[in-house]
Amino acid sequence: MNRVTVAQAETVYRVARHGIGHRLVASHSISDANLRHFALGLREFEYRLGPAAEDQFWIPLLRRLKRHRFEWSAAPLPFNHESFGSADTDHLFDQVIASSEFVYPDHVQGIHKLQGLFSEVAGSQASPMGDAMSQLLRDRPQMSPRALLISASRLLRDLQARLLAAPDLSTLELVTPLALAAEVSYDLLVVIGAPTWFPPHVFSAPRAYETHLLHYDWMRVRIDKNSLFLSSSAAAGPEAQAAQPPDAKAVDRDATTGYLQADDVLPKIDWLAISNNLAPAHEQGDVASIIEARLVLLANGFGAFLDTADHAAVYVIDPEAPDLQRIRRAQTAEIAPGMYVLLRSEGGGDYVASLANHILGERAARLRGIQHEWKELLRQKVRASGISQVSGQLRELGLLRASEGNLRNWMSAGSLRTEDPTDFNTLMRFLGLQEQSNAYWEAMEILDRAHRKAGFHIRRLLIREVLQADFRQLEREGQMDFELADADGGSLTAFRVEQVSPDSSRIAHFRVGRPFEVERDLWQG
Amino acid sequence: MDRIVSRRPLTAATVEPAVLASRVRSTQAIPEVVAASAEGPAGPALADLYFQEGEWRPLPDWGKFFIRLGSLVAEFSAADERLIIGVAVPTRAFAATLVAVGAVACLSGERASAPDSQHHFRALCKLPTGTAVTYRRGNKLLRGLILGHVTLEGGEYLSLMVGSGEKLLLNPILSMKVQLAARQFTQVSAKQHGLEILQHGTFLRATLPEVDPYYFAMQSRFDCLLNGNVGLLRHEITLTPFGAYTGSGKLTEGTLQDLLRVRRFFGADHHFRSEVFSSARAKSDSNSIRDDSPPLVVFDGASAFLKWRHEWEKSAWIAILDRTSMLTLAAADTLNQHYAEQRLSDWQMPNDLSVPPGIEVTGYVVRKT
Repeated sequence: MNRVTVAQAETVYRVARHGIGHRLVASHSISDANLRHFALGLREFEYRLGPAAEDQFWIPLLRRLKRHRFEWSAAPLPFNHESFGSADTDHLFDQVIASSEFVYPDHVQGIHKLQGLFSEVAGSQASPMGDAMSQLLRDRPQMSPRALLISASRLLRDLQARLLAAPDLSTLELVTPLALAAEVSYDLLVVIGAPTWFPPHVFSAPRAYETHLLHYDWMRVRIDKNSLFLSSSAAAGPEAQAAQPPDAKAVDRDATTGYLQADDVLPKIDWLAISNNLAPAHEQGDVASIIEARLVLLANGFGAFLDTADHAAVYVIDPEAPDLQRIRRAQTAEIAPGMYVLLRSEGGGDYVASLANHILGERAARLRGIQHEWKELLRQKVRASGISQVSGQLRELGLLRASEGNLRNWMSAGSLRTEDPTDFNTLMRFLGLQEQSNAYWEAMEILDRAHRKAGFHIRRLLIREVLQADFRQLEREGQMDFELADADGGSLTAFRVEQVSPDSSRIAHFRVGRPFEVERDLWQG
Repeated sequence: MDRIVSRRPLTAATVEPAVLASRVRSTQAIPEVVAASAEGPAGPALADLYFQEGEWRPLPDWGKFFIRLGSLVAEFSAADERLIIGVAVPTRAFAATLVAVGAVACLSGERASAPDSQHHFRALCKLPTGTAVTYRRGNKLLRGLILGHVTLEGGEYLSLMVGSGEKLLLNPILSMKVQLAARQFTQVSAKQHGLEILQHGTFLRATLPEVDPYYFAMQSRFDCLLNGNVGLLRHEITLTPFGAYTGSGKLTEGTLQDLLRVRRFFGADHHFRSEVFSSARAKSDSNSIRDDSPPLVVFDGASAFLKWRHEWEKSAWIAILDRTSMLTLAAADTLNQHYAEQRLSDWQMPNDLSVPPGIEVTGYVVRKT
């Protein structure tokens, strides 16, 4: 959240006032016969497959094709633009068709037909959405500043490059929904796709005097009413103009007059598949090495798991904050789409621990050895008896804070000791380390101090780097690398968070905080 | 330990007739709507505020709306009922702050003029020796300790120590310069520089012309709590210049802190009118005024409302829900659920108050728990 002036807040209300006598949102329906035939043909094929659509034989291809359908509808780029990756999909078609003759002979004709429909679109240089957008901008030369909002975040970089290269589009600012939450105002905002593809505030708290929603005519879009409350003493914000295809019927599957609900075109993130894909089952079986973590999807097709423990935090960057507040630690629960998280992209492991070792010098090995020893003993107990059994035993010994959550925390590399020395003493007694208890507490205290010092140092280095950074690049591209030469090598990358998993996952602790590339089609459930 | 010199008395005597009428209506069998006062704020008039955009400009309508809303909710007073207001806004900026200004200004009318000096004098004389007080000398506030009261040549005096060797004898009229200290202490330094009482005295006089500025600034009252992002609120309250015209037609500058007197943004010795709590804190603050329920709690954002509303079940609520926040839908659902389960009656704004474009308001009355 930004610190704003009354004048900046007034710009937002000025837009709302404009909505009294004017239409703030206009909907434009775009036609393209090839895309229509493919979009509806895909649904028809899936319908004909019936329960077989859930077969692993078809799932990869269907996912890929749905992604194409979404991305072609969501970005003003030519259909044959390389960023859509159509050549790869052609190969996938060939593989599936070759096998389908044996596995699903009844669907061979259907898949051939679908491939034909796909190729018609994928091979076309047409850009109906781009053309419509250009025409709209040409018709309103006086409206500036102007911005473009799309929901296909994977395509942002390519789209930005194309905008910069096109003389008539170079003044068009590519914005994110988060940017439209700031106290800004545009004369003209072009939104590609359906309102439900974006956070509600894009339409309920508009930042543009004119918002033009561009969508294909085979997609049914709906603009929700703005009212938040069951009973409003006074109504509300600027009315949006809902757009509905005039003759749409819910069961209509006809390729020339049918339509799809916009929500069905939007990729559904298969959180479980992403999680399972990264973390094999055998890792999840080791109760002593797993922790609760939340999966976040990051810009440009990356993902990461973030520790959900109470103490766990990650560095975030706020490009709009005053200089010294641009870097801060945020708990995982705070992380929301649009924020920028800093993750170690090179060097591996926890960068605070790594620098703490550097600070401790020769002492680090001995202290880490102690840390490893008692944690490993605890893990062995848990592996042998189960976590709830160990938790119960510790409570009987008087360690009342030995909940399963805390136990997981103590087993993880991220925690150094219990909060309370008495608890630590009880834990050591349980592990057969009673004689070493005081010495080990001291050792963990030294590590803790080194961690704090490292955290402070890294923050200082980061601030130095961040103050020199061009945040327009970060906002444009969704990611930016930072080199910390003094911090034991390695680099950090700031990623824009695109989505946050609604549920937490259980994952091996060494996977936490490390960005990985998400398989593209897993975004499509 | 802070002490509240006076809390908002919930007696009929302090409530405007129109509000009393609405309260009576709200306790009748299943009333559908409780009308707010249609006659403007019950408290002292707050002068028009101005903000800077290159030059001084009048506060926009949405800003005036928030101030009025705050005063309307503050003036609604009932022994066993309270108001719940939800406000959806396109930006959170200044909404909660201006609501609080309206509330504090409205409540500044209670005992705005100095109380009877004899009554005040007697109350001070009853305090034990060593009680920590403040003594106003010009625009400075000095620490003092009560030494007792003496009778001298037929007159009664309050005896006060305000520095090493500096003892004062104050008659009832001069005793009006003495107030209970905001914080307890047992010693006073030999030479005191004193605290500045009014940072922008002219601004305070211009904005609340009917209120005695020194009396306003010299008693602690917990009239309003703002629960939200402390950094943002600090920026709006202490760092954003506002203007107001004096009686002589000159524009004078100050900040909303001059009106709100947020305890957190002052030194501990200052008297306060409102407080800011962080919505991000992990647990309840160990705060001496936590046990007191202010007439109004303003939740600046969905997160503050979702997390902390249960702590303030005796106060009126105004929840400012920024439509750009991810949590706003959840907060609105919670408020709607509360409305469905707890509502005694709807609250209706006065006809002369129109909701500015982009803002949505809901209001209802619930029973105090």
